[in-house]
Amino acid sequence: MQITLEKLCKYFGKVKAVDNLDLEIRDREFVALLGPSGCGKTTTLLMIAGIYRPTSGYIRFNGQVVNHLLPKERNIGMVFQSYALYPHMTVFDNIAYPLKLKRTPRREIQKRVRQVADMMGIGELLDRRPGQLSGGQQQRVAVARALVKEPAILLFDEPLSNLDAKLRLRMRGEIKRLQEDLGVTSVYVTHDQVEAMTMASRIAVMNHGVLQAYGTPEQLYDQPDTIFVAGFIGAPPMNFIPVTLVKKEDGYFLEKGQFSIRLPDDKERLAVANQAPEQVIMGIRPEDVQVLPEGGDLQGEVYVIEPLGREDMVTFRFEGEEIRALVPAPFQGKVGDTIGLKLNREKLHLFHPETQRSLLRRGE
Amino acid sequence: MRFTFRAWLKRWWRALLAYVVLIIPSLVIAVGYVWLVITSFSTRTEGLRSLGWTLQNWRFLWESPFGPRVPSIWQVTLNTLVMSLIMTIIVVGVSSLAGYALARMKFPGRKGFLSLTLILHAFPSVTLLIPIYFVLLWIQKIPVIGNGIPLIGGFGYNTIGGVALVMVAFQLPFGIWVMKGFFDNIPWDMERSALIDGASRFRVWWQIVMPNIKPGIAALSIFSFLTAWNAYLIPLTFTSGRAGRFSVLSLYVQNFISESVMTEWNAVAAVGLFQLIPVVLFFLFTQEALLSIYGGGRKGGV
Amino acid sequence: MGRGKSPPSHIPWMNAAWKRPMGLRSKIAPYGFLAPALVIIVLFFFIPLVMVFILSFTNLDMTNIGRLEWWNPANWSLENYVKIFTNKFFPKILFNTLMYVSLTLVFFNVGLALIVALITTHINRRVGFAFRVLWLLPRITPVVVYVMMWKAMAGPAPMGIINTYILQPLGIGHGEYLLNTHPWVFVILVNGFIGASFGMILFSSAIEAIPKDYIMASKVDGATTWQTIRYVELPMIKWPLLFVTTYQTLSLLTSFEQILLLTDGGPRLYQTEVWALTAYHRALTSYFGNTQWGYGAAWSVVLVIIGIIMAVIYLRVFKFRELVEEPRIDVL
Repeated sequence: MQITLEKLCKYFGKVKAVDNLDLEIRDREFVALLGPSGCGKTTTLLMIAGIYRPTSGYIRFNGQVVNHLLPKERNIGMVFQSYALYPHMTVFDNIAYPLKLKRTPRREIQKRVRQVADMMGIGELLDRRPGQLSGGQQQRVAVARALVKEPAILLFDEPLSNLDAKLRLRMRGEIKRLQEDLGVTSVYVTHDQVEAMTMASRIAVMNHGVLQAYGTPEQLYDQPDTIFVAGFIGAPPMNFIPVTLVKKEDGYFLEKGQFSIRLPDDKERLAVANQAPEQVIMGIRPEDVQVLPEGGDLQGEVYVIEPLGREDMVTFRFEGEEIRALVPAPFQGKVGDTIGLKLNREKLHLFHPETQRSLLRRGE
Repeated sequence: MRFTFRAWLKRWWRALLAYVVLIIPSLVIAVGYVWLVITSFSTRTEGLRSLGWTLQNWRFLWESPFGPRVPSIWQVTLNTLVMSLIMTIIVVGVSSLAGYALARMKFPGRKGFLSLTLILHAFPSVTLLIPIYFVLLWIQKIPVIGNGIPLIGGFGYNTIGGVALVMVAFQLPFGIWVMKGFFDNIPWDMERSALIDGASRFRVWWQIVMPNIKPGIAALSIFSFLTAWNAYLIPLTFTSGRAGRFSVLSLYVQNFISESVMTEWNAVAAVGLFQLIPVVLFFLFTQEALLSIYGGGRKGGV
Repeated sequence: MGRGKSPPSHIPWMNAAWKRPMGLRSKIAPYGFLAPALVIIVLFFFIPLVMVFILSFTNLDMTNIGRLEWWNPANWSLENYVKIFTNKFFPKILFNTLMYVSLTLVFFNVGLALIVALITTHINRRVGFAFRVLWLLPRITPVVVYVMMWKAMAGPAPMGIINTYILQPLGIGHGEYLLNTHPWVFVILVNGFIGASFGMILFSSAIEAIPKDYIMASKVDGATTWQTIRYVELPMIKWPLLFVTTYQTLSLLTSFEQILLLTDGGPRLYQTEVWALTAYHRALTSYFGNTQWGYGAAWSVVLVIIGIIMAVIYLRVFKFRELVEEPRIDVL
């Protein structure tokens, strides 16, 4: 089932939750709606489900407008953050509920419920009540209930938030695999960019109800369109440093006090094409900042060292700014040392300080 | 703080004072019930002292003390029971339906109706007794419903059903408010899930939400039942009198108390205790549920 | 469309031409839920409300029922209201009512309720709970039985409890029936104990809901229990205090069942007669000879107006903010 959101708007009283959203989700695709709390992603999901009515705009399934359809007519399965299992029914009855409502014959209910339960690995839990299950088990029941009606669309509303870290890791892989096997169009809401990056084929980043970017994980990581996207995707987050763009005879340079590096030619062309102003914001990811025994693009003073196990994240200060770098453990310096840093030229990003947009955009 | 005898005495004295202040009025309450029990089993009582133990006061259980034309205690008890049950069932049913709509559904006029419920909740229904009398008279004129239903006599004036209906009306704003409070605590996701699974809104109410509201239903049922069981003024006003066919327990007890206050105290006490015992038993077993009624209105919802 | 049936997704099942309005049934569903309540409210609140106003302008009574067209404006007049204000006992009834309400409110419904709530929340929890249960008893006891207990307590010696155990040993009084000599004391006591239980429950819940951090901080600051109560707890239960005060004022103004049973306005003429009781007596009993619905309605209307005003005050001041959280399901 292909889903199209067309100029979708949702107001709650005077508050604009979703602002002019245009999005297209292909059949069998797994799309993540990513963003911080309150950005409108859950609202969008609930509009697709039919629980919320759009204030304006259209939702289409396979090209046909479905705004007016009730949730039960949309052939959707949904997994909620809180699982929303019915506490007064057994696991079996919970999963069977959608089928019972459709007046499916008893024998077929039995067959399909068992099938789905086995697929989700909860076959032995059918007689228990939700209250007797662990978080992970409850979540599987929720997924089973969503799947049992063989829906055309699967909706997930932060289903892994209530699980502990290890379980979350495992369920991520399982859900992704499940979706690939079943081939059901899925929309997955999350605030965790790792989840989005690992599970989705495309990610829609939202903030304040507005779509910030929509692309594959690689696209969003390598070519973020705005400062927001650049800072949201990737952990630890990208460093942003205001610098001055200076045109010299042999090229364009990014300068701040003592710091000065030359912009590679291809980036220079793009920056000029995008009419880069004098003051720009430079973006560089911590993994692209290298620590050198001597020399380097700039000298930074060690400020904080945070061991992460495999790597250490070190915060340096230079020219009144802070820059974080990921260095292989163990880091040899101590707080207060001055150490040379080198920036990977190919991984530089430039952003306009006012519009917040990338100055290295290709085409428009 | 240095430990001194004076400081210790002060604290002790304060605590004692608190207990005394608490116990004296509590004693007043307790004494009344003690008197009731003692008197109902005595020939005469002076203060709390029984002058002789007897079961004579409980004669009314097997022979009517007023003669054959006045209903026996069992008839009256049955009336009271039926009236209370009808009232409870209707109150809980109507309140659950209305409370759900007000708590969970979007429709024009929702805010207005919520305000209306609150206003009625605070409104002294007692002031409307006079015109309600006329309303019941009109209902009585409706065929069948007015006056023809067996056992309860119908829903008009001077019927069990009529009395129950008025009690329902007076209890309804409170009931709606209480149920709304309990409904507010149901997670939205549970209802959304049911809607997506394919249930109609009514089904969601009946199959998903109501089973999870059991404490609220219990609390309201008990509260309403007790209110009906104890009622005096409304049955008095809307039935044809204390000795009537549709008398209820409170009226029956009042029968025993004539103008010259001191006659037959011991017999009255027995009848009074008879009416009181179910209440106390009920109450002892369901206190937490009852007390939760005042607290069941927390804001909830994801 | 078939109920509950969903065709498989690969069939083009949604023709562009076909567009159903978002379920007519779902639009009227809320009203369906509300209908039973609405019927009862119209029958027993709205219609009576209108009627009580109209009746107060007529002189409908038992002698002219059926003949008098009370709905006909030609028969309306302000005669009843004039009668009220020129009634010989009007000042006495008014005074009784005000005295009754203020004394019971201050000493019992709010005063004693607060004290009991404070004490029971500061002593051992289970004991406190037991006391509160005891205090609920007057409210759940059948009113007839409850009043009877009080009559026994007020009885003449040697039967009456107060006379026998308290007054006589102290040499006070002559063991007479206390309801005849001091009816007002008992009117207030009887209503007070019932009224106190309401405030007591609300106050104790409010006190127990105060986050323990504040109490602990106060203790660490060096406050005694009384100081903590006075400076930390009492200010934090301002809202319940205000609510109980206004709610109980209205309750007291309009309640009369206990007085009816206890003294029926007596023992001397109009001695304990309050406003609500007068309305009842005039209209629904032959206390004064003839059941006068119109006249009684006029007495009620004053109370009705007070009731409406106070109810609207509650709405604005107290609860409105709480109630209007918008539902999170748009559909249906």
